[in-house]
Amino acid sequence: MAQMNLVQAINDALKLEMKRDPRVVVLGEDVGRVGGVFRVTQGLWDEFGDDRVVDTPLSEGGILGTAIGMALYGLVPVPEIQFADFIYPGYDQIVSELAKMRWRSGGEYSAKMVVRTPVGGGIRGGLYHSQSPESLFIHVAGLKVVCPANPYDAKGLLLASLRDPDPVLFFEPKRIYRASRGEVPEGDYTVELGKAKLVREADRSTGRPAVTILAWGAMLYEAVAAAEKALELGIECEIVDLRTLWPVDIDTIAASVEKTGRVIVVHEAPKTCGFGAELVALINERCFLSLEAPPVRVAGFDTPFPYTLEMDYLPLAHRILPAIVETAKY
Amino acid sequence: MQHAALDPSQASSLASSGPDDLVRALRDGGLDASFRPLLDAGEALLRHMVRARVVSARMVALQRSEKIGFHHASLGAEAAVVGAVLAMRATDWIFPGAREWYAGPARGLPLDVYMHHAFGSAADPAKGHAAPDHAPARALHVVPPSGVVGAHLPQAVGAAWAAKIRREDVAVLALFGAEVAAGGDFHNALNFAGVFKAPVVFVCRAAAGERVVDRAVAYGLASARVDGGDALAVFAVVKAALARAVEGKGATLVEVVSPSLEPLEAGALEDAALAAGDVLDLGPADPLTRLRAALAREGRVELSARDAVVAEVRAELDAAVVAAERAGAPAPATIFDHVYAGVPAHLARERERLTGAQRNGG
Repeated sequence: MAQMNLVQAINDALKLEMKRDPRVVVLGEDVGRVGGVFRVTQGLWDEFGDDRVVDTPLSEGGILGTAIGMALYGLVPVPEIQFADFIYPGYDQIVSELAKMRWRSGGEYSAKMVVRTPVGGGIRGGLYHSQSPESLFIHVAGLKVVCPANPYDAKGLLLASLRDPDPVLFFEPKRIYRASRGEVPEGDYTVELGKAKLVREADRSTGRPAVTILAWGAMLYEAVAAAEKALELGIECEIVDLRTLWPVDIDTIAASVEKTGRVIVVHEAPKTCGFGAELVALINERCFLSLEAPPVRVAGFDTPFPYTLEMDYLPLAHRILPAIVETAKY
Repeated sequence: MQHAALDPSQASSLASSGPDDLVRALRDGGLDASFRPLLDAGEALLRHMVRARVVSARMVALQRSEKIGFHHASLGAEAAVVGAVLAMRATDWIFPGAREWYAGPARGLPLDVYMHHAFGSAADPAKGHAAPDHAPARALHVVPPSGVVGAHLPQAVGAAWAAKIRREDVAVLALFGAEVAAGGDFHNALNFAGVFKAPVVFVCRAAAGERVVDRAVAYGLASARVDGGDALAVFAVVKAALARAVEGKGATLVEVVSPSLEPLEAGALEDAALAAGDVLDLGPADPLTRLRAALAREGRVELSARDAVVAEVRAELDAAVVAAERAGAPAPATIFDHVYAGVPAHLARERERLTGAQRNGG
């Protein structure tokens, strides 16, 4: 086992799969010689050359449109979009083409690819380098959406995504690209898509109130920090790292909510029509009679992402903790 | 404006014969002798053009009688579509727009399959998911048209680029109308094709004077401008562009100048032709009329041969319409097929709700 950060784990997964599967091709802006704006693809061009690691013109619509054609032909392209904030010029190709190709052709054609892109704030990136657009893709039938929170999951989820038959949006939480470190096996392994992970269990034998927190990506660590503080206040927290956002592992979520009777969803994206809204609706459908308090969303505000005040915008631990207390006391 | 010329070794027979840069094979006086070596393709070109015309007329009638949702009538575009498709090899890929729906049938997609698709029947290869003229034909390397005009152009480049990466002897044909040149996908496609020297042939139908072809210079692509009423000329130019692509010389933008069949744009032509029950001769500019006359003069076809083709395709259409109507709609549960490779739990629940409600008469 090696110690890796998120960047190294993703790089390791790409390298491993490119060796194993000659169909895998990485393309994007400066992904080749430079190794990507965050150096995630560093060294791939040296090892695999011009045909497999391609520096493209600066056009997300062009990158995603041509990647779809490559996928139709039989390659497994891995386009990198430098920041998720830049994905919108290619949004039509994702929504109208990538997501619908299998369905509209009755299964004759599919466009298997993994779109990698960094998401989230907290790096002083301002409004165009900080967004979390996951719900815009979860809403589109035909896509899978993944967001790892640690190096082990990042490698395993990326390998699983590359081998999954459907197109995957792979959102990388850039705030923890290098901050998140951990043991990562050197060889081949996968983390199954569609499976959430219980990262903290509530002890119900204590008689203390308990709250389930749903989180993913960089905000998982904020949920954990808030849970530590909550325990000091006599509140047990159970934390579910969703890992795959869609299709969501509602069974794991429901099992936890049925156990605690209380739930908080944390995400960086704006609250209105964010993924938290869907999660709360699903929980209401599945767990209504188990609920002891209204589900709560601790999310980004319904504003653009601010540059100076980004730490006020983000749903950090100091904003999650009051929600935990409020929910526990309800 | 000067265009990057087609490779002379491949296009020696393509000298412009008009006062402008328009490539023509069929002229008032007859066939340009330099195109005579391509005459063997003439009968197949004419046969497919007649078939395309008759099918489109039937589709307009089916739309008017509300048997199908809609149809992208293509009267006048036959030389562009058939000429380009037949110029490609069977192993080459085709990305048509919806208006170039005949790419599938020209490659061999049976008309009964095309009609099942138009009706969205239980036997539609697209399972009733997509509107008429968006049929997939993977076995024939024809990608289903998108409803988003122009979205297929960068995809065509990607497929060609993938073939190049794999060192496979495959080129790609992208078919579209000049309206696509207003959008970003057109720019992305031509820019990426130029940068990566992708083996693509872009064939753009344009009205006289639109001169989409001039854009090729900016992207470093070869280009040609051809008479869209002249199937032999389209065939020759696309063949030359294909040869360039295969030789690794990159993409070509071919502008096919649409014949002026006024008042086609207003739809009045379809009305008049359908009312008269005859759409086979729309005047001296009609690509069918021009090719048929030229081939007859060259002793390649009998003028009367057209009647047999028409009778054949009408019989196929009659049977195809009956079969599509008889097949009925796909089962409701098929809405959920092919959203993903499998059926995820949330879709299985929705499917169960739909089919369960129907079982219970709800």
